[in-house]
Amino acid sequence: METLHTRLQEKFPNAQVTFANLEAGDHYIIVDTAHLHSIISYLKIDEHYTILMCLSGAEDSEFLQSVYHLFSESSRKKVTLKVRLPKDNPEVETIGDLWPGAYFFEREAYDLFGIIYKNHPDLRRIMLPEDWIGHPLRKNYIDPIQYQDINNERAYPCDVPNVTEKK
Amino acid sequence: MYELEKNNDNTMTLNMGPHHPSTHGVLRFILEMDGEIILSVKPDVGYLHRSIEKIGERVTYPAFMPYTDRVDYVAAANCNVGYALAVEKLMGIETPERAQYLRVIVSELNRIISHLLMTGVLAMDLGAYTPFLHAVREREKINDIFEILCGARLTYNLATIGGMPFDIKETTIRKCLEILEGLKKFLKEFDDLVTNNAIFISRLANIGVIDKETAKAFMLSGPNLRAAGAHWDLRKNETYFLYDRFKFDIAVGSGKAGTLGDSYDRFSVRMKEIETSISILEQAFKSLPSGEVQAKLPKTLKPPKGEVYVRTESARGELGYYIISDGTAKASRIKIRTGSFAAISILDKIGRGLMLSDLVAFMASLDLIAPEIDR
Repeated sequence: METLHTRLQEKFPNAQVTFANLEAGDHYIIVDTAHLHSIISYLKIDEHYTILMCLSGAEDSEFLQSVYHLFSESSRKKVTLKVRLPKDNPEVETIGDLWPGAYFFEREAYDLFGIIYKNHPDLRRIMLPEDWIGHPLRKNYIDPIQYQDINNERAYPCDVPNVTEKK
Repeated sequence: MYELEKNNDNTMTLNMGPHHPSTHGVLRFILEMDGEIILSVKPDVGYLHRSIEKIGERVTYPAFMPYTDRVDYVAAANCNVGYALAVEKLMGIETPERAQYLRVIVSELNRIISHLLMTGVLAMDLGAYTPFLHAVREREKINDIFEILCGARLTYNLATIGGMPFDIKETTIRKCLEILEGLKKFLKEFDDLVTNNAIFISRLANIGVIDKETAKAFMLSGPNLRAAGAHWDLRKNETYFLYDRFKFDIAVGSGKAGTLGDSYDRFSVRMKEIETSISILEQAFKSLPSGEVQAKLPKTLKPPKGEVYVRTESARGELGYYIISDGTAKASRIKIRTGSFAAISILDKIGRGLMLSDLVAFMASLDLIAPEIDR
């Protein structure tokens, strides 16, 4: 994966491509938002990373992330790409034109994180109702007290009405 | 059940679901129809959204295990062991050999359960009620085994991080082998009743043909991808647990009833996989090693900072857990990638041009489970 990282740097000299090595688990490559689509299509066509395993949203302390897990059937290698998006304006190009199946995964990331995928043909909420406020998987999300006049609050969680007390 | 709406241009909007017997859970499709021909399919999902991923950020790593049951209640054991494997990989835990064998055993038993239900329900969706009862009768016997093993029949909660919370007894193994023998006889009976039935074949052959390239573009996985002709099985190509010790063939679609990748292929791949699972189980029982079933772990699990994407072969395709740890006892993010969610997006592409009754057959052959889509 480190060699792939250097290849990407040579191929895209204007893009910021950073290799991240953590204490445990998989390594990943952070790419900048403007070059994401061209880098992924380069990976798919020239490097034969033909399978998109997963697309997900995530959040670290300052940024929202859109995470792409790619897999190459011919070399049996995996690569994780991430873009970091500012929380007030998280916009990134869709990759649904490369893998049409990604459209639904992008809708889920839009619904739960509020990441906006540009050029997506049908970017609507998928899990939650259309009139839901907020994006639940963000860290600063506050659970709503009510939804459409259905109250979510009880005075005390153990209070169950119509239970006779033991003597 | 149906809501009809007349559009201006002689087409009709038909509301299928959310409570429709053939949608396998609470799932809704908005169909645009020209007579009985489908012009477009809009899946409307989310009725069973329980925000399992958000719950995962609020509970500790071991406490998330029961929630993974609810991701896919038909193949709950596969979800359990997949999650355990992901956390173990993040923490670098070695699982004892016997525990890994037990995980193979429960995964394969659960795969049989899931495929039996799928094949039975597929026949029921086509209007034949009897095969469903036959399949569920066999399924109940394996549910009994799960009850002996872990006390539950549907949502098992049967894995711990670092091993398994139970051991298998010699009497249970004997009972299991007896049931597998019976299951082999049942498969022959089922073949006569359903698989080689002319009406059944004509309802499924050449319906909803998915070729290999389309399947990969739409991120299909598992039996749906294999039915399209791809030799791809994570158990073999990306071995986890100790699947490399067992001899088995990957079941691939052959197109023997019509075209490669049609609904009949998706059905027959699952029938073949039941046989594969039986053979893996027999090998596993024969070579089950002795020893511990639980690795020694600290009382509170705090994985180091890092992230991991681990995928296993569930009954409904690739089940991936993407876990980001920030070094505390609770995960910073748990994403669950399921096979059904990927499969739902192909309905519009393939469903266009089908008859309404064929859409039901096509949908059932994809083996969609609503809670796995919505999570």
